[in-house]
Amino acid sequence: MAFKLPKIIDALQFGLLSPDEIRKMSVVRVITADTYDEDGTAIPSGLMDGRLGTIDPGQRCKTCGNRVGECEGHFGHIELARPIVHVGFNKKIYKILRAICRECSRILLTEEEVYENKQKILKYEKRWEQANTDLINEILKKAAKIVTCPHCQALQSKIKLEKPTTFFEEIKASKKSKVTERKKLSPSDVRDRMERISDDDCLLLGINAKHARPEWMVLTVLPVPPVAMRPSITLESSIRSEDDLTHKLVDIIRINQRLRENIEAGAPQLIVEDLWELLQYHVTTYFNNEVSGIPPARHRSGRALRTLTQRLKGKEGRFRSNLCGKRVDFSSRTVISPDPNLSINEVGVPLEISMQLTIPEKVTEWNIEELKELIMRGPASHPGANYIIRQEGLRIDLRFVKEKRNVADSLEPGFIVERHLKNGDIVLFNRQPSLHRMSIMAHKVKVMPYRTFRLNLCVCPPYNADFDGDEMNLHVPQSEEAQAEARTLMLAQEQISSPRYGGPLIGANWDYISASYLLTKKESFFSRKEAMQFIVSSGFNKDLPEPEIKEPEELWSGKQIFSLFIPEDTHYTNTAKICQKCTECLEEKCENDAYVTVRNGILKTGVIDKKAIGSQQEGSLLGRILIDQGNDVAREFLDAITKLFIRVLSYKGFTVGFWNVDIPKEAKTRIDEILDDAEKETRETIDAYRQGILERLPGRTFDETLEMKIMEILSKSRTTASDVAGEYLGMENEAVIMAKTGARGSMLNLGQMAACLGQQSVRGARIKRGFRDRTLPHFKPGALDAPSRGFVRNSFRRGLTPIEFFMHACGGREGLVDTAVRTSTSGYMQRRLIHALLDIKAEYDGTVRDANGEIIQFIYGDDGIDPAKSEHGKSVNIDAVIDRVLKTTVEE
Amino acid sequence: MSKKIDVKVEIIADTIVVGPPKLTRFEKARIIGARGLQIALGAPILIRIKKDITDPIIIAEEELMKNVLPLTVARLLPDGKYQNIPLSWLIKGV
Repeated sequence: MAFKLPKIIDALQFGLLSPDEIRKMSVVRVITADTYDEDGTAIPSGLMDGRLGTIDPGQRCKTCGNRVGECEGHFGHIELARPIVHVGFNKKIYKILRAICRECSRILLTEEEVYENKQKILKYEKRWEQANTDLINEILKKAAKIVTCPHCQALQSKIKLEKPTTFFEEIKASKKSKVTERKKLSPSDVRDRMERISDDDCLLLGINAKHARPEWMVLTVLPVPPVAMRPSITLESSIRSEDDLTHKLVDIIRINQRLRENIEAGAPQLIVEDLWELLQYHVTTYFNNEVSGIPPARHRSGRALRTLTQRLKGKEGRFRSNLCGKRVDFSSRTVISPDPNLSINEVGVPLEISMQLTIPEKVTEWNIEELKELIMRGPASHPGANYIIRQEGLRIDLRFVKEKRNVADSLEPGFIVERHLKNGDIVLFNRQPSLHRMSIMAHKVKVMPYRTFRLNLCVCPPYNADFDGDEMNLHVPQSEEAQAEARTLMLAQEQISSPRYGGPLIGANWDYISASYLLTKKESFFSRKEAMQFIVSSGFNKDLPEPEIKEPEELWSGKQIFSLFIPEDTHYTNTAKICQKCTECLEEKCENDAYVTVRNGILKTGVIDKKAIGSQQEGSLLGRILIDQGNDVAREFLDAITKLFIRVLSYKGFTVGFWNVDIPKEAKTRIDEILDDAEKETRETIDAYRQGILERLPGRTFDETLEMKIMEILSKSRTTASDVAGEYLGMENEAVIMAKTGARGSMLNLGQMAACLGQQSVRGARIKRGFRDRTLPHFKPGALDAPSRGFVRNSFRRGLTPIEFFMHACGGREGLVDTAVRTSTSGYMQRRLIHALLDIKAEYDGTVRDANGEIIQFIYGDDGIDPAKSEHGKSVNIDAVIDRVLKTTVEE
Repeated sequence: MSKKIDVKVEIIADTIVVGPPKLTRFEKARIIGARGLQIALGAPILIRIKKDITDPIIIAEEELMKNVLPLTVARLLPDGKYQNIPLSWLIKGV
């Protein structure tokens, strides 16, 4: 469908619809409350009048003669029997009524004040091209306080707004009398007063009389939206079901007609007023069905109607759901799962999906033969095609083509073939919440069997993805320009370095870290056969160096194998994660092999663990390679070593079990002693507190002092217990390997499993809520000792007592609640922050400007450095340069 | 509110005076995109290329690297001045 732009918009003016304008744009005055008669034709002058546009396919609009697609609908109108207050303006009406005289409708300010303020407002508008709302609010507030009109000396009365739409006047007999008489202001009275306001006074009330007269806020005519805005649906039982808006309009017309008839028949005042109020209710709920103070209008089933305001407002409203966010073609979504054999640049796409998503390829004399083959294969077998678009724009659906040969032969340059996704195509891959730019990256397609998207484990951190059921989205860029941008700017390898801190966000994780430790630790040696297998599995063909041990058999160290993959000319020095932080560092001679040195691409000393190849690590080997050798080399390195590690790990075997947290009997006795001592100490402290001989800490009450002391004693005992357990768990223990190398877990977690779980806390203090003066009925009232306040003495290995289990659940629940609350608030905070910063851009002259061209910074970040290309925020890492120069020259 | 400047003035110089001396990644993406579109529409290829490479984007990238594209980069400053820089000048800087 060709897109027509009828006019070029150069300005927008908001205003109110005047009754005349409503009548002018109306094509029919609606007077019948019914929609259709028995035989299903629309009743003329009814709510479904043919002149309001058409929604039936095939039918022509009675106004413009167009069919469904072309006719955008036409407004009708309802003449209201009596004026009705528009709920959306109740506050504004209230403010104006308070600021004007009840007799002469002039603003309650002296002529001088009027003149002065007028000048101010005009000046402000000229300068800033917007209204001075602060000044206008001040004027309104000031005028509301005046008791006698400066123009006609009439005594003013207080106006009250009873929400949502009723106005009252509290009339005093004289200036001094305290007795007030409460009188209702009908919408007619309100409209009368506002009609008398002069255009000049409107300016002071914050209204531009050219576009919005104040009396237009009280309706006399109601526009009826075209049927296209409120289509009726036909159910299978051929019963018509009307839109909520139509229902509401039916109510309005019905009451309006009743009101008119009653007025004309001269019915008593009381009846007329009742009907008037009912009409006001219907019109109010027509605009907004969630006004406070009145019950929402309901459907027969009891469901609240979705009227005008509800259509626009909120997350599911027109703005946030249909205008800011739209559903797109050429996209798909499914569950993700890991595949270590993929490159970080690749994404595994299920065959079924790849046959649905297409890329339009123009037929040229170069690719015509290839595309003919695709057409011959058709939409049902993989590298095929779904559609052909001929030069004149005719679309051929290949699903319904009988003789594919004929279509393929008719192919000529200028046609477009929508072919299936195939290996090497570029696609965008995304996981919500899209918090930063690495949440959407470009990947190359790899078509695979089964039904999940596959991705390399190293790209989990930027997406924050795991495989417990996460789903991700995939989008296919259609134009060559979009594909080129995706490939050069968004490809995963271009995003390895995080712009948050100059270091890799994509890197090895979890099992890769364990495997790298097992491979590169001192005592690991491999035979020729083993070494060869590891290297081949990485997908590279490299020659083995001279073996480190030649007799009695040839053995290669893990470090040698790993070194094969480090790019040449790489120099790196750092401590490993397993470093014990000794007071005096032995550097290269470190006993734990925790001092990592890489000289010219050879790993000389140290083990490779999280600090060298992990994601989100500053100053890592991976980061060094990334900055010195570029994205391509870093990606190749990462892809190769991860495949290598997978092979190493499955060859060596690696598992964690109950035995990993099992400690010898003597350790258990030592831990018990520690905990007994701690409990004894707490009891003594409590005794001291009870006797009042506890020494108070500065700035604390006795209660606080006691709590602090106990917390300190207990947490110290847990730490020592954990340390004792740690002594018996060595580096041959898999769980310890994971904790120490940074693969998963920590020594604290291990201590909780092996030694003692420790104090459970709610709101940062020991658990104290529950029953009166105690946490559970198992304790004496007023008990303060360790077990009664949530100290868990047992370890996970030994098992928790029911009471301990309960206490642990208390602490666990708090954690869950906290995460739920934190994500929602921080998410909203981030949304607002990004909204404020979204259009700023660095220009060619180096300045940072917003969309209006206003300068935010003279040079980006005050130093002009792209953090993603920096060395952890700095332009040069001087230590690395010195290290490289010194260490390399000495050796030569 | 600042007004947008419509008048554009060309800066004529023998060296690159606007922006960095090398091709930015955004310019690179823009050029590959434009050239890729030409190739996809059937334009003749300016370099020798292996038979099995058919993706227009890859070919365009290759052409850019070989410095055979007769394109000009117009770098526009926020004040309306701009410089037309031959692509070859920018490639030399890389």
